[in-house]
Amino acid sequence: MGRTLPSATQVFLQEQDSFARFRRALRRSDQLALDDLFTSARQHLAAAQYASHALPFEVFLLSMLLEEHKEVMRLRQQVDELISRQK
Amino acid sequence: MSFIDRLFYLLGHSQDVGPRRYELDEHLQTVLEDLALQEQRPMEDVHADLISSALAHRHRSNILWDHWRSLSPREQDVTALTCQVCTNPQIAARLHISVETVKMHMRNTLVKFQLYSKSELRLISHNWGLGTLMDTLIEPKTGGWILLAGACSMNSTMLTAIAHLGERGAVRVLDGGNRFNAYTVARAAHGRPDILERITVSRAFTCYQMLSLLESTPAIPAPFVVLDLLNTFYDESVQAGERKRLLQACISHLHRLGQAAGGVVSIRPPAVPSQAALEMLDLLQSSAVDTFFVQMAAPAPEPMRLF
Repeated sequence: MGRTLPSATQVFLQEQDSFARFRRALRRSDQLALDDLFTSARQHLAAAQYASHALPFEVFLLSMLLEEHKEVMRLRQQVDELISRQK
Repeated sequence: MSFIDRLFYLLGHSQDVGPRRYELDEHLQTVLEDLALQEQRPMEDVHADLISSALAHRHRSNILWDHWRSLSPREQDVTALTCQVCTNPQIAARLHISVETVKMHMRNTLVKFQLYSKSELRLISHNWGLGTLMDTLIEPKTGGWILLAGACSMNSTMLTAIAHLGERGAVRVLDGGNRFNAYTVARAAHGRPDILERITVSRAFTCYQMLSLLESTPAIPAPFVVLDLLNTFYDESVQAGERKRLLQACISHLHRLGQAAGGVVSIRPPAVPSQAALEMLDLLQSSAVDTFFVQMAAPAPEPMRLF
């Protein structure tokens, strides 16, 4: 009967709010990087909801890590392509 | 000041609590007469001495209260734990901060209190009852239940207490106001599944459901926590007399559960005070073994939307 647990989006927004002071203390460039991290975590909110993890922030951190790893993989592929072209 | 007046005053709903009246009971009168006789002084002198000493004590208390309010929330945490004779490493472990940070908070506290050592701080705060609320919440005594009255911002305290109770064994939570937040409890329990598995939550969305829940809860030696009991009873679509009857039945079940294991019941005042609501608050307060008022400065968060 109704919602008895905050949704992943609500928890995500609460977590993001809880870092507002931390964000404020950062340099502008770091603030943008932090915003990027949260944006990347936001892409996986549906998965976070499905995970129903007791500590959702762990899932958000893993989502950030996932996006970072995807970026690393993409860059690695580009480097490999460049190296193969030079050969 | 009556229970209701005090509750509303603490929550900032009432500014003027009116004049306070005091009566001298017969026993106190006799004691004062004996004292005057022993000291061979007139009664009026003894009265004046006692009142001036009480006023001086009150003045000192007010100064200390001002110092306390000047502390940041973290400094208050550190001070409270220090006054419970916790060591710096223990405080650091409990608050998840470094020992150096604890020392820094303590230095700031001592400066604000104009003291030189922690022992002085312990001396002046020995009767403040610091830390007793959480200790009381996590160690409910068998034979009754305690009432926690305050703003809904005290909810995090209750949820933390539930996690601590879960560390010790099974705990039953009856939620009357959709206040249980599993994420907050999980965080307080450091995500330990063994603790979370010991916590059973039941929710009631009407006062009839609340009574039904309490009826069906067995009286076993496991503490119980009722969150926001009166929330369902503030429903004005149910007749006031009916609500009162249901509440009385709920209280008898709370006594039954309290006999097997202690419990904690939290309540919030109604958004719109009414005579029926005030009577119910009074009824609960008179039935509880003990009542704690929690005053929080933080604004109350919006409750989760049900639909």
